[in-house]
Amino acid sequence: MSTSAPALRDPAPGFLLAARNLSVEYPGTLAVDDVDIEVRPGEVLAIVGANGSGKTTLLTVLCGLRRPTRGSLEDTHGEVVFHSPSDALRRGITLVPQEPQLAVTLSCWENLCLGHSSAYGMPLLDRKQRTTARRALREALPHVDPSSRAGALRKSDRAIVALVAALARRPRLLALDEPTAVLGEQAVEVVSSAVAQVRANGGAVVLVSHRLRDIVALATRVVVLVDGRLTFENTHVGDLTVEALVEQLTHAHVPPASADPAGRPRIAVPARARPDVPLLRVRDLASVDGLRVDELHVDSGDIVGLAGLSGSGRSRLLRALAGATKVSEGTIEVDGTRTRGDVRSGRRLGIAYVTEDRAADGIFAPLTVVRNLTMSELVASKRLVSRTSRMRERQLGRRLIERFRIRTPHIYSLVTALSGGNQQRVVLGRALAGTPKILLADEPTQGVDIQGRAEIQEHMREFARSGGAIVMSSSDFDELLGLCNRLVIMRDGVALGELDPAATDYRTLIALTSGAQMQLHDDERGPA
Amino acid sequence: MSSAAKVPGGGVLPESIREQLPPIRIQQFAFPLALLTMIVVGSIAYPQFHTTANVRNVLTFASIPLIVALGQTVVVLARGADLSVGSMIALSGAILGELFVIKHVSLALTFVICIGVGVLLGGMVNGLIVTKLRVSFIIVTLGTFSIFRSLADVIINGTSISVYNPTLDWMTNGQIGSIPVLIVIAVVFYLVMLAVLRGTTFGRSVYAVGANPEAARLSGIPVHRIVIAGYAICGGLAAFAGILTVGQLGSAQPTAGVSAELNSLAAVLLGGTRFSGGHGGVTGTVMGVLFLGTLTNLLLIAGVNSFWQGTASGLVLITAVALDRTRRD
Repeated sequence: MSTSAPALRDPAPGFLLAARNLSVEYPGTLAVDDVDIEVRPGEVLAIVGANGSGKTTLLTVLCGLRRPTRGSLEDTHGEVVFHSPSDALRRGITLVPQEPQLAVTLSCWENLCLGHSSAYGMPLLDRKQRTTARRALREALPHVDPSSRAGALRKSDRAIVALVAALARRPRLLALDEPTAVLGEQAVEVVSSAVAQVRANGGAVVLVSHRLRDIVALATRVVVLVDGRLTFENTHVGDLTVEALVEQLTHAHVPPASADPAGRPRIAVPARARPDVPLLRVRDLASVDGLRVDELHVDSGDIVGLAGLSGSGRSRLLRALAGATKVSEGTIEVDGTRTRGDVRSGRRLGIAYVTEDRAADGIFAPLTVVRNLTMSELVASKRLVSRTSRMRERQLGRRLIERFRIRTPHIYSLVTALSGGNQQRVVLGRALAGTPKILLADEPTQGVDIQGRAEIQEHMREFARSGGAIVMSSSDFDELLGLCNRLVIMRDGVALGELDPAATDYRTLIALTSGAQMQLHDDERGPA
Repeated sequence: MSSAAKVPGGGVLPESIREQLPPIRIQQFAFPLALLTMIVVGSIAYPQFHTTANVRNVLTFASIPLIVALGQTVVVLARGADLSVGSMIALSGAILGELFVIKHVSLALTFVICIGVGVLLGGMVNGLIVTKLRVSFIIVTLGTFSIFRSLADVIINGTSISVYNPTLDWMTNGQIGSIPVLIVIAVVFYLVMLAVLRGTTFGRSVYAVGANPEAARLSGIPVHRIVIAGYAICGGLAAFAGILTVGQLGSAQPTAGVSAELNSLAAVLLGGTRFSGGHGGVTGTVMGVLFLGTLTNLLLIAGVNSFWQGTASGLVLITAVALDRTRRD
């Protein structure tokens, strides 16, 4: 080997990298709270936690992508400060993020050579490196030509290329963020061979995953994060069971007050003109990106929650229902009328959609609060050219600002001047401005503080009480349990079946969505 | 407490009449102030600058560029740009020369055909390819920039055709009282575009599409139709500008409208409309056109070699947009 990998070269018996009293603060939240953790040579350390428990944040700090607010990192030689990700790379720390980061216009083997120095200074000219890269790819992906463009590959293959590229750096510490989410069934096998390679070189692997089964199969040590704090550690691989992990994940979990059964919405469904037909009926839905929903009925008054991990198809289903993405098979009917599968016709039938990513496709950043609120009702639902008056815009805008309690310095302030929570209310207000029949809300309370969250939930309850139907997703299971009157479990793009939230608990949801419990109706009360 | 009602948790619900209208931001006055300063300084330095004849002259010469820039504004607001307007001016003029002079088609019908061709090529070629085939607007309009001028050359065989008609002459060189007709036409177009952009669903949609095309789609706005309509309007206005150019020059020329695309874009951006879409408007464009026209006129009066004009307007454009950027951050 050449002269690379300086600091962690000597195999110290103690640890490769350690976090000391590490805290990371985001505005308003403490993502990582006073964490002490050591990564030891030869181990596979799994960090487990619910959504928003700080796993990914902790991982990004360890890999130099983010600097801690308090506390420090150490290696055997003392404190280390990563000024940039490449600082960490130079010390042999390599992160494989959840979404494979490849140069899509380059070939697979070129991706493996990126960032490597070589005798010629031009990695692509180094013949030896090229041969090594191609051989590594052939081994990992026999069915893929190493010269094919990385962007042309399937997503799961791309994930493998990213993994092989990370291994090509011969990391001392390999960090994997949800490596098995994209890979599907072959995941455990692929990842474990990668893990074996790193361990053979005396390195260590840090693994973050939702899938408890994979963790049990791969990890030698497990730590559990709850609200940014380390609450549990298990060093005896043999004892580790999925049940024990579920126990730990729900152990420190204090259900919020609103989640008790008495506080659950009891919604009186108003009489409908055609009670024989469900308000929203979905049949045999399938899309090219792997979504499959055989049957879904939603009636007025329903708040149906989609429960699943990220990538389980919650957002895909909502987008398909809204007409934002095309489906390849199946029908969606609103009040007995089949939708044509585009946003406009869906809107005309009474579908309103709140997107998951407010910044990307929710708000109109250069426009005012009022324009943002009235764009659907006063513009999109009218003919292409018709008069709009400033007065009606102002009236509707002001009404919505009051109804949704949007804190804005001025009704004509730019929407970007508002806090995230208030921007979310603007997006919800726009969706509900035209009194739709069906609200599709993807993570409607994301990035909203506790009080704002309660208000948004109340608006949704009110909408359902007055006869509307809601299909929503949330990665916060407490929210689903407290707000919804029906739950649909989603895994790998498939709607597996339905649960009554009154007869379910947090632990069962964790078990079902993470695949720890495969059957929906056997043993619904969770593992004994 | 005054008349304003407190919203729980802070913030004030506006009620007073003062707050019925959008708040006024100081930035809005920066560019008009610059224009005004230039006019005042010019007037003091050069007495011949503020004579009625010169003012009329500046406004008349700004009229046709303004009509082109108005269409360009719509396209830029919707996150595009139309590089084919200059060629469209030439093409429209060529069609006018061919039909009216050679084929003896009536003037009214010629007008309709010219503008119809502009609308159709703008909407059905530029607009349709940009939206449905998802080719970048730069590539599409760069292509049509070349195509339209070539078609103009083909139609009039690369030569100029003398065109004379009293109506056309009145439109471009006549006066109503002491006001040139051309200025009246430009003002009317400005007012119409202002009304369309501010008071119609189409106008609001243009801003929405420019601000965030995906959010616009998910809100139910027919994004493709809006973009196509924008290019159609831009093409139609450029074609009309082509007719007026023929009237002004007294002939249809293959070189008509050269670099009109760049000048119109410069005026639009100078007027505060953002290249990233969704922000700006036609009033800014009017000021942008006037600024460039006034600058040219002043340099002329000051006896600066006309070759320097491009340098001056280029510097002004970059400075203005750079200032706008830094102010926003």
